[in-house]
Amino acid sequence: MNGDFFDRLDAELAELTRQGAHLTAGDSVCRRAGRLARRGVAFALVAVTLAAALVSEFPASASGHGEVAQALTAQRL
Amino acid sequence: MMGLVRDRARWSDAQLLAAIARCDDRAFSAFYRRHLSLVVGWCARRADPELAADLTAEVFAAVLIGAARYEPTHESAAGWLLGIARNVLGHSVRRGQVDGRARRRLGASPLTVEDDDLARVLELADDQASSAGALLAGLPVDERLAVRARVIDERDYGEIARSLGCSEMVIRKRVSRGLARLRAQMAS
Repeated sequence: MNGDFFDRLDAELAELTRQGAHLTAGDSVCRRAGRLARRGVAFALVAVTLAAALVSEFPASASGHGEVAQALTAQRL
Repeated sequence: MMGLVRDRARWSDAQLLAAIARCDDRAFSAFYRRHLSLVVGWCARRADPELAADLTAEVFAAVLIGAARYEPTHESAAGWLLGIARNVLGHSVRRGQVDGRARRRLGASPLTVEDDDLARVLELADDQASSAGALLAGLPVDERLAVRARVIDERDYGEIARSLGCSEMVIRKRVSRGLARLRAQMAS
């Protein structure tokens, strides 16, 4: 490519236009957005599953009764 | 090739951008040549010549990506183009380096700015300043001051009104009338 910076820039971007690079660039943004959305949903599902597992494993702690029970036991002792 | 680019030089900005979105490389060259000095001049007023060249490259790469989303509101796409330039500059300032996202997305190879190119930046910026100056010189003084302060120096209406000693409404009218007159001058 000859010419100054701006001639080279013109030639390069015109060539990318001809190749349709902007169409692929748009696709890659959509793909990235889709990937981010999927990751977000997966993260939310994992968080909900973990919370549900914790609640089912320690129901008293989840409702706050665990601390009361411990306090009563401590008083009795 | 040159003949076809010249042929497209008669197209409106909206037609060129629609053609760019359809992968018309000659339309891109025509649009680029039409607005190059505007973008270089705008960037050179805000950055040194080397950065101005780099910013210009990023602006036109972003034009290529955004061409399909262009919605014509005026005969010229200059406002849209300078909006892109403002975004590129703002992002570059925040990151402390020239934004290169559009060029990366396109897979463009990096272009180096040589010493001779710096003189070309200044030349293009002067072209832009003299053509803008010539157009502005054709306006009545009050409109010229208002348009220069608002469009070129990008000052707030309130600030311009205070410095010129009149109301914000008057300044808005002067800018609007001045821009309409400039559009008419450019069309003729």
